[in-house]
Amino acid sequence: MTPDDLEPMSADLTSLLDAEKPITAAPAGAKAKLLARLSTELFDGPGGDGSGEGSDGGAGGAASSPPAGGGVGASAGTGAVGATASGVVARAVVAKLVVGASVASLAVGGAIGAGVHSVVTTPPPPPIVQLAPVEPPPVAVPIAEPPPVPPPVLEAVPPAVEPRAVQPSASKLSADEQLALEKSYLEQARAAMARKDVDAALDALAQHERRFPKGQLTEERLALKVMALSSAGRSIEAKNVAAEFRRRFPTGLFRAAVDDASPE
Amino acid sequence: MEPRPTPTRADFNRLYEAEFDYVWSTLRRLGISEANVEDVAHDVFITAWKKLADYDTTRPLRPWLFGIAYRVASDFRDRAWQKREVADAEPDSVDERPTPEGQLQTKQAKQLVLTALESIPMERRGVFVMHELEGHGIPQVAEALSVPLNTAYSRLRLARRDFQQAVERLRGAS
Repeated sequence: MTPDDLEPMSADLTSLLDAEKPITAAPAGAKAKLLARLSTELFDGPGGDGSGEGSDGGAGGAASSPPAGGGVGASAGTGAVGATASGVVARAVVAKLVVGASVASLAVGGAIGAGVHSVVTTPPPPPIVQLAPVEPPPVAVPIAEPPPVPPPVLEAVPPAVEPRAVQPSASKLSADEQLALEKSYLEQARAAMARKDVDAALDALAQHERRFPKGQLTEERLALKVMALSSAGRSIEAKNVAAEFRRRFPTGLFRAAVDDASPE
Repeated sequence: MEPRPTPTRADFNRLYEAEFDYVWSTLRRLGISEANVEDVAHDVFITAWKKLADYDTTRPLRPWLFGIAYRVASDFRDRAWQKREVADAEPDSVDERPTPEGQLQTKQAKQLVLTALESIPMERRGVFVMHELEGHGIPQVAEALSVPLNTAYSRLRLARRDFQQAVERLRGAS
Protein backbone atom coordinates (compact mmCIF):
# COMPACT_ATOMS: atom_id res chain seq x y z
CA MET A 1 0.00 0.00 0.00
CA THR A 2 1.45 3.30 -1.03
CA PRO A 3 0.17 6.82 -1.42
CA ASP A 4 -0.34 6.10 -5.10
CA ASP A 5 -2.87 3.42 -4.27
CA LEU A 6 -5.02 5.88 -2.40
CA GLU A 7 -7.94 7.31 -4.22
CA PRO A 8 -8.54 10.94 -3.36
CA MET A 9 -11.63 11.78 -1.40
CA SER A 10 -14.43 13.43 -3.25
CA ALA A 11 -14.73 17.20 -3.07
CA ASP A 12 -18.03 16.72 -1.29
CA LEU A 13 -16.51 14.68 1.51
CA THR A 14 -13.48 16.93 1.73
CA SER A 15 -15.76 19.89 2.12
CA LEU A 16 -17.74 18.07 4.76
CA LEU A 17 -14.60 17.29 6.72
CA ASP A 18 -13.54 20.92 6.57
CA ALA A 19 -16.43 21.74 8.86
CA GLU A 20 -15.00 19.59 11.62
CA LYS A 21 -11.38 20.59 11.24
CA PRO A 22 -11.33 23.49 13.70
CA ILE A 23 -10.87 22.41 17.29
CA THR A 24 -14.16 22.56 19.13
CA ALA A 25 -13.89 24.18 22.53
CA ALA A 26 -14.91 22.09 25.51
CA PRO A 27 -17.97 23.13 27.52
CA ALA A 28 -17.53 26.09 29.83
CA GLY A 29 -16.15 25.15 33.18
CA ALA A 30 -14.86 21.77 32.07
CA LYS A 31 -11.29 22.96 31.84
CA ALA A 32 -11.07 24.40 35.33
CA LYS A 33 -12.94 21.47 36.82
CA LEU A 34 -10.62 18.86 35.37
CA LEU A 35 -7.55 20.87 36.28
CA ALA A 36 -8.67 20.96 39.89
CA ARG A 37 -9.08 17.21 39.83
CA LEU A 38 -5.72 16.60 38.19
CA SER A 39 -3.91 18.98 40.50
CA THR A 40 -5.27 17.16 43.51
CA GLU A 41 -4.19 13.80 42.23
CA LEU A 42 -0.86 14.73 40.74
CA PHE A 43 0.48 17.41 42.99
CA ASP A 44 -1.51 18.33 46.04
CA GLY A 45 -3.41 15.34 47.28
CA PRO A 46 -2.21 12.54 49.53
CA GLY A 47 0.45 10.68 47.65
CA GLY A 48 0.18 13.35 45.04
CA ASP A 49 3.50 12.79 43.55
CA GLY A 50 3.05 12.57 39.88
CA SER A 51 2.97 8.83 39.91
CA GLY A 52 -0.73 8.67 39.42
CA GLU A 53 -2.73 6.42 37.24
CA GLY A 54 -6.26 6.93 36.13
CA SER A 55 -9.09 6.97 38.58
CA ASP A 56 -11.46 4.12 39.07
CA GLY A 57 -13.29 3.25 35.98
CA GLY A 58 -11.12 5.53 34.00
CA ALA A 59 -9.37 4.59 30.91
CA GLY A 60 -6.05 3.96 32.52
CA GLY A 61 -3.30 5.30 30.42
CA ALA A 62 -0.50 3.38 28.91
CA ALA A 63 1.94 2.12 31.43
CA SER A 64 4.78 4.44 31.97
CA SER A 65 7.14 5.57 34.59
CA PRO A 66 6.38 8.82 36.28
CA PRO A 67 8.73 11.67 35.78
CA ALA A 68 11.92 11.31 37.68
CA GLY A 69 11.96 12.30 41.28
CA GLY A 70 13.70 15.48 40.44
CA GLY A 71 10.69 16.68 38.58
CA VAL A 72 8.48 16.00 41.47
CA GLY A 73 11.05 17.50 43.68
CA ALA A 74 10.75 20.60 41.64
CA SER A 75 7.10 20.57 42.38
CA ALA A 76 7.86 20.01 45.99
CA GLY A 77 10.23 22.86 46.02
CA THR A 78 7.46 25.11 45.02
CA GLY A 79 4.92 22.91 46.65
CA ALA A 80 5.00 24.82 49.86
CA VAL A 81 3.23 27.44 47.99
CA GLY A 82 1.66 25.35 45.36
CA ALA A 83 -0.38 24.42 48.31
CA THR A 84 -1.83 27.84 48.43
CA ALA A 85 -2.67 27.72 44.79
CA SER A 86 -4.64 24.55 45.29
CA GLY A 87 -4.53 23.82 41.63
CA VAL A 88 -7.54 25.86 40.78
CA VAL A 89 -6.11 27.04 37.53
CA ALA A 90 -2.84 26.57 35.80
CA ARG A 91 -2.03 30.16 35.13
CA ALA A 92 -2.74 31.06 38.68
CA VAL A 93 -0.77 28.20 40.08
CA VAL A 94 2.41 29.13 38.36
CA ALA A 95 2.23 32.71 39.47
CA LYS A 96 1.10 31.75 42.91
CA LEU A 97 4.14 29.63 43.42
CA VAL A 98 6.16 32.78 43.27
CA VAL A 99 3.80 34.97 45.20
CA GLY A 100 3.35 32.59 48.05
CA ALA A 101 6.98 31.79 48.47
CA SER A 102 7.41 34.47 51.02
CA VAL A 103 4.72 33.20 53.28
CA ALA A 104 4.91 29.47 53.02
CA SER A 105 7.21 28.04 55.58
CA LEU A 106 8.77 24.67 55.90
CA ALA A 107 5.92 23.71 58.13
CA VAL A 108 3.42 24.31 55.44
CA GLY A 109 5.48 23.01 52.63
CA GLY A 110 6.52 19.95 54.52
CA ALA A 111 3.05 19.00 55.47
CA ILE A 112 1.66 19.64 52.07
CA GLY A 113 4.53 18.04 50.32
CA ALA A 114 4.40 14.90 52.38
CA GLY A 115 3.59 12.65 49.50
CA VAL A 116 5.97 14.52 47.29
CA HIS A 117 8.84 14.13 49.66
CA SER A 118 8.35 10.42 49.78
CA VAL A 119 8.83 10.27 46.06
CA VAL A 120 11.95 12.32 46.11
CA THR A 121 13.56 10.04 48.62
CA THR A 122 12.26 6.70 47.44
CA PRO A 123 12.09 4.84 44.15
CA PRO A 124 9.17 5.74 41.91
CA PRO A 125 6.01 4.14 43.25
CA PRO A 126 3.70 2.05 41.12
CA PRO A 127 1.55 4.11 38.80
CA ILE A 128 -1.52 4.31 40.94
CA VAL A 129 -3.07 7.49 42.17
CA GLN A 130 -3.68 7.42 45.85
CA LEU A 131 -7.23 8.54 46.07
CA ALA A 132 -7.79 7.09 49.51
CA PRO A 133 -6.23 8.58 52.59
CA VAL A 134 -2.75 7.31 53.20
CA GLU A 135 -0.40 7.50 56.07
CA PRO A 136 2.16 10.19 55.59
CA PRO A 137 5.82 9.39 55.76
CA PRO A 138 7.52 10.30 59.01
CA VAL A 139 8.99 13.36 57.42
CA ALA A 140 5.59 14.76 56.68
CA VAL A 141 5.51 17.06 59.69
CA PRO A 142 8.77 18.88 59.95
CA ILE A 143 7.62 21.15 62.73
CA ALA A 144 9.88 21.00 65.71
CA GLU A 145 7.20 21.38 68.34
CA PRO A 146 4.03 19.35 68.40
CA PRO A 147 2.07 21.27 65.84
CA PRO A 148 -1.23 22.77 66.81
CA VAL A 149 -2.19 22.22 63.23
CA PRO A 150 -2.84 18.68 62.05
CA PRO A 151 -1.16 17.65 58.82
CA PRO A 152 -3.35 19.08 56.11
CA VAL A 153 -2.44 16.37 53.66
CA LEU A 154 -4.10 13.73 55.75
CA GLU A 155 -7.27 15.69 55.87
CA ALA A 156 -7.52 16.56 52.25
CA VAL A 157 -9.44 13.50 51.23
CA PRO A 158 -11.74 12.17 53.98
CA PRO A 159 -15.25 11.93 52.66
CA ALA A 160 -16.73 13.89 55.48
CA VAL A 161 -15.59 17.36 56.27
CA GLU A 162 -15.08 17.22 59.96
CA PRO A 163 -13.59 19.90 62.10
CA ARG A 164 -10.25 19.09 63.55
CA ALA A 165 -9.84 17.68 66.99
CA VAL A 166 -7.65 20.59 67.87
CA GLN A 167 -8.78 23.92 66.68
CA PRO A 168 -6.74 26.69 68.15
CA SER A 169 -8.27 30.04 67.61
CA ALA A 170 -7.08 31.75 64.52
CA SER A 171 -5.73 34.65 66.49
CA LYS A 172 -3.31 32.43 68.40
CA LEU A 173 -1.84 30.85 65.32
CA SER A 174 1.35 31.97 63.72
CA ALA A 175 1.07 33.13 60.14
CA ASP A 176 2.51 29.86 58.96
CA GLU A 177 0.19 27.78 61.07
CA GLN A 178 -2.77 29.77 59.95
CA LEU A 179 -1.79 29.32 56.36
CA ALA A 180 -1.48 25.59 56.85
CA LEU A 181 -4.89 25.42 58.47
CA GLU A 182 -6.46 27.57 55.81
CA LYS A 183 -4.91 25.40 53.21
CA SER A 184 -6.30 22.27 54.80
CA TYR A 185 -9.84 23.60 54.45
CA LEU A 186 -9.30 24.37 50.81
CA GLU A 187 -7.72 20.98 50.28
CA GLN A 188 -10.83 19.41 51.72
CA ALA A 189 -12.93 21.46 49.36
CA ARG A 190 -10.88 20.50 46.36
CA ALA A 191 -10.85 16.84 47.31
CA ALA A 192 -14.61 16.96 47.69
CA MET A 193 -14.94 18.57 44.30
CA ALA A 194 -12.72 15.92 42.80
CA ARG A 195 -15.16 13.29 43.97
CA LYS A 196 -18.03 15.49 42.82
CA ASP A 197 -19.32 16.05 46.33
CA VAL A 198 -20.23 19.69 45.94
CA ASP A 199 -22.03 19.93 49.27
CA ALA A 200 -18.95 18.79 51.14
CA ALA A 201 -16.85 21.22 49.15
CA LEU A 202 -19.12 24.12 49.99
CA ASP A 203 -19.18 23.04 53.61
CA ALA A 204 -15.39 23.11 53.79
CA LEU A 205 -15.33 26.51 52.13
CA ALA A 206 -17.93 27.80 54.57
CA GLN A 207 -15.79 26.58 57.45
CA HIS A 208 -12.84 28.40 56.03
CA GLU A 209 -14.88 31.55 55.67
CA ARG A 210 -16.12 31.35 59.24
CA ARG A 211 -12.67 30.83 60.70
CA PHE A 212 -10.75 33.06 58.37
CA PRO A 213 -13.06 35.71 56.98
CA LYS A 214 -10.02 37.75 56.03
CA GLY A 215 -7.69 34.84 55.56
CA GLN A 216 -4.66 34.66 53.35
CA LEU A 217 -6.45 32.31 50.98
CA THR A 218 -9.64 34.27 50.61
CA GLU A 219 -9.08 34.69 46.91
CA GLU A 220 -8.69 30.95 46.43
CA ARG A 221 -11.73 30.28 48.57
CA LEU A 222 -13.92 32.53 46.48
CA ALA A 223 -12.61 31.01 43.27
CA LEU A 224 -13.30 27.50 44.51
CA LYS A 225 -16.74 28.52 45.63
CA VAL A 226 -17.55 29.84 42.18
CA MET A 227 -16.39 26.58 40.65
CA ALA A 228 -18.31 24.47 43.14
CA LEU A 229 -21.52 26.41 42.68
CA SER A 230 -21.13 26.42 38.94
CA SER A 231 -20.53 22.68 38.77
CA ALA A 232 -23.64 22.17 40.90
CA GLY A 233 -25.68 24.15 38.42
CA ARG A 234 -26.29 26.92 40.93
CA SER A 235 -25.43 29.51 38.35
CA ILE A 236 -27.05 32.50 40.02
CA GLU A 237 -25.17 31.94 43.25
CA ALA A 238 -22.01 31.29 41.27
CA LYS A 239 -22.53 34.55 39.45
CA ASN A 240 -22.95 36.45 42.71
CA VAL A 241 -19.81 34.99 44.20
CA ALA A 242 -17.96 35.59 40.97
CA ALA A 243 -19.02 39.23 41.12
CA GLU A 244 -17.71 39.44 44.67
CA PHE A 245 -14.47 37.89 43.53
CA ARG A 246 -14.07 40.37 40.69
CA ARG A 247 -14.85 43.25 42.99
CA ARG A 248 -12.35 42.20 45.63
CA PHE A 249 -9.70 40.73 43.35
CA PRO A 250 -10.12 42.41 39.99
CA THR A 251 -6.68 41.32 38.87
CA GLY A 252 -6.55 38.20 40.97
CA LEU A 253 -4.54 35.21 39.94
CA PHE A 254 -7.67 33.12 39.83
CA ARG A 255 -9.59 35.57 37.69
CA ALA A 256 -9.31 33.37 34.62
CA ALA A 257 -10.65 30.36 36.49
CA VAL A 258 -13.54 32.39 37.84
CA ASP A 259 -14.35 33.80 34.43
CA ASP A 260 -14.19 30.32 32.99
CA ALA A 261 -16.55 28.88 35.59
CA SER A 262 -18.93 31.83 35.63
CA PRO A 263 -18.53 34.18 32.69
CA GLU A 264 -19.45 37.79 33.22
CA MET B 1 23.65 15.70 24.53
CA GLU B 2 22.61 17.55 27.63
CA PRO B 3 19.95 15.91 29.74
CA ARG B 4 16.62 17.60 29.50
CA PRO B 5 15.34 19.27 32.62
CA THR B 6 12.83 17.13 34.42
CA PRO B 7 9.25 18.27 33.85
CA THR B 8 7.71 20.35 36.57
CA ARG B 9 4.24 21.24 37.62
CA ALA B 10 4.56 24.43 35.62
CA ASP B 11 5.34 22.36 32.53
CA PHE B 12 2.24 20.31 33.11
CA ASN B 13 0.16 23.41 33.59
CA ARG B 14 1.40 24.90 30.36
CA LEU B 15 0.64 21.69 28.51
CA TYR B 16 -2.82 21.55 30.02
CA GLU B 17 -3.55 25.18 29.33
CA ALA B 18 -2.52 24.94 25.70
CA GLU B 19 -3.92 21.56 24.80
CA PHE B 20 -7.02 20.97 26.87
CA ASP B 21 -9.43 21.82 24.08
CA TYR B 22 -7.40 19.79 21.62
CA VAL B 23 -7.53 16.70 23.83
CA TRP B 24 -11.23 17.17 24.49
CA SER B 25 -12.00 17.59 20.81
CA THR B 26 -9.81 14.66 19.83
CA LEU B 27 -11.53 12.36 22.28
CA ARG B 28 -14.92 13.34 20.94
CA ARG B 29 -13.71 12.56 17.43
CA LEU B 30 -12.47 9.22 18.68
CA GLY B 31 -15.95 8.39 19.87
CA ILE B 32 -15.85 9.22 23.55
CA SER B 33 -19.25 10.49 24.59
CA GLU B 34 -19.88 13.74 26.41
CA ALA B 35 -20.73 11.73 29.48
CA ASN B 36 -17.31 10.10 29.61
CA VAL B 37 -14.99 12.57 27.98
CA GLU B 38 -13.92 14.22 31.22
CA ASP B 39 -12.84 10.93 32.76
CA VAL B 40 -10.98 9.89 29.64
CA ALA B 41 -9.36 13.32 29.27
CA HIS B 42 -8.28 12.97 32.87
CA ASP B 43 -6.48 9.75 32.03
CA VAL B 44 -4.92 11.29 28.95
CA PHE B 45 -3.36 14.08 30.99
CA ILE B 46 -2.26 11.68 33.71
CA THR B 47 -0.53 9.59 31.07
CA ALA B 48 0.92 12.66 29.38
CA TRP B 49 2.39 13.77 32.70
CA LYS B 50 3.94 10.39 33.24
CA LYS B 51 5.45 10.41 29.79
CA LEU B 52 6.39 14.06 29.71
CA ALA B 53 9.97 13.34 30.67
CA ASP B 54 10.31 11.18 27.57
CA TYR B 55 8.74 13.64 25.18
CA ASP B 56 11.15 14.95 22.57
CA THR B 57 10.58 18.68 22.69
CA THR B 58 12.02 19.09 19.21
CA ARG B 59 9.07 17.19 17.79
CA PRO B 60 5.53 18.48 17.29
CA LEU B 61 3.47 18.12 20.41
CA ARG B 62 0.08 17.22 19.06
CA PRO B 63 0.98 13.98 17.27
CA TRP B 64 2.55 12.80 20.51
CA LEU B 65 -0.53 13.83 22.44
CA PHE B 66 -2.81 12.27 19.87
CA GLY B 67 -1.00 8.95 20.27
CA ILE B 68 -1.70 9.06 23.99
CA ALA B 69 -5.32 10.07 23.52
CA TYR B 70 -5.83 7.34 20.94
CA ARG B 71 -4.50 4.61 23.22
CA VAL B 72 -6.38 5.81 26.26
CA ALA B 73 -9.61 6.12 24.27
CA SER B 74 -9.11 2.68 22.75
CA ASP B 75 -8.56 1.12 26.15
CA PHE B 76 -11.61 2.86 27.50
CA ARG B 77 -13.83 1.68 24.69
CA ASP B 78 -12.48 -1.86 24.92
CA ARG B 79 -13.24 -1.99 28.60
CA ALA B 80 -16.62 -0.42 28.15
CA TRP B 81 -17.41 -3.04 25.57
CA GLN B 82 -16.19 -5.86 27.75
CA LYS B 83 -18.28 -4.60 30.62
CA ARG B 84 -21.21 -4.05 28.30
CA GLU B 85 -21.29 -0.57 29.57
CA VAL B 86 -23.81 1.35 27.62
CA ALA B 87 -22.90 4.70 29.04
CA ASP B 88 -20.64 5.43 26.11
CA ALA B 89 -22.92 3.89 23.55
CA GLU B 90 -26.06 5.83 24.08
CA PRO B 91 -26.43 9.16 22.42
CA ASP B 92 -23.30 9.47 20.41
CA SER B 93 -21.30 6.31 20.32
CA VAL B 94 -21.04 3.53 17.78
CA ASP B 95 -24.47 3.08 16.39
CA GLU B 96 -25.07 1.46 13.08
CA ARG B 97 -28.78 2.08 13.11
CA PRO B 98 -30.10 4.57 10.61
CA THR B 99 -30.71 7.93 12.08
CA PRO B 100 -34.42 8.68 12.32
CA GLU B 101 -35.80 10.25 9.22
CA GLY B 102 -35.60 13.97 9.14
CA GLN B 103 -33.19 14.18 12.03
CA LEU B 104 -30.11 14.71 9.92
CA GLN B 105 -31.71 17.58 8.09
CA THR B 106 -31.31 19.68 11.16
CA LYS B 107 -27.79 18.60 11.95
CA GLN B 108 -24.80 20.63 11.10
CA ALA B 109 -22.02 19.26 8.98
CA LYS B 110 -19.90 18.84 12.08
CA GLN B 111 -22.44 16.55 13.60
CA LEU B 112 -22.66 14.55 10.42
CA VAL B 113 -18.91 14.09 10.42
CA LEU B 114 -18.85 12.99 14.05
CA THR B 115 -21.69 10.60 13.48
CA ALA B 116 -20.06 9.15 10.39
CA LEU B 117 -16.81 8.74 12.29
CA GLU B 118 -18.63 6.42 14.63
CA SER B 119 -18.95 3.94 11.82
CA ILE B 120 -15.22 3.65 11.38
CA PRO B 121 -13.51 0.99 13.48
CA MET B 122 -11.24 2.51 16.07
CA GLU B 123 -7.92 1.47 14.58
CA ARG B 124 -8.86 3.03 11.26
CA ARG B 125 -10.48 6.02 12.85
CA GLY B 126 -7.27 7.05 14.56
CA VAL B 127 -5.48 7.22 11.21
CA PHE B 128 -8.40 8.96 9.55
CA VAL B 129 -8.81 11.63 12.19
CA MET B 130 -5.11 12.37 12.37
CA HIS B 131 -4.70 12.59 8.63
CA GLU B 132 -7.98 13.95 7.32
CA LEU B 133 -8.97 16.26 10.14
CA GLU B 134 -5.64 17.26 11.60
CA GLY B 135 -3.64 17.18 8.41
CA HIS B 136 -0.70 15.10 9.58
CA GLY B 137 1.22 13.15 6.99
CA ILE B 138 0.85 9.41 7.00
CA PRO B 139 4.46 8.78 8.12
CA GLN B 140 3.79 10.96 11.13
CA VAL B 141 0.50 9.20 11.76
CA ALA B 142 2.19 5.83 11.58
CA GLU B 143 4.79 6.92 14.07
CA ALA B 144 2.31 8.42 16.50
CA LEU B 145 0.11 5.35 16.44
CA SER B 146 3.04 2.93 16.37
CA VAL B 147 1.95 1.09 13.26
CA PRO B 148 3.91 0.23 10.11
CA LEU B 149 3.67 2.76 7.33
CA ASN B 150 1.90 0.36 4.97
CA THR B 151 -0.61 -0.45 7.67
CA ALA B 152 -1.33 3.22 8.15
CA TYR B 153 -1.96 3.67 4.42
CA SER B 154 -4.16 0.61 4.34
CA ARG B 155 -6.17 1.81 7.31
CA LEU B 156 -6.61 5.20 5.76
CA ARG B 157 -7.93 3.66 2.55
CA LEU B 158 -10.42 1.52 4.42
CA ALA B 159 -11.39 4.39 6.71
CA ARG B 160 -12.14 6.62 3.75
CA ARG B 161 -14.40 3.94 2.35
CA ASP B 162 -16.09 3.52 5.73
CA PHE B 163 -16.56 7.24 6.05
CA GLN B 164 -17.98 7.65 2.60
CA GLN B 165 -20.42 4.79 3.08
CA ALA B 166 -21.46 6.18 6.45
CA VAL B 167 -22.11 9.63 5.04
CA GLU B 168 -24.13 8.18 2.20
CA ARG B 169 -26.11 6.04 4.59
CA LEU B 170 -26.74 8.90 6.97
CA ARG B 171 -27.78 11.22 4.17
CA GLY B 172 -29.99 8.53 2.75
CA ALA B 173 -31.65 8.08 6.08
CA SER B 174 -32.38 11.73 6.42
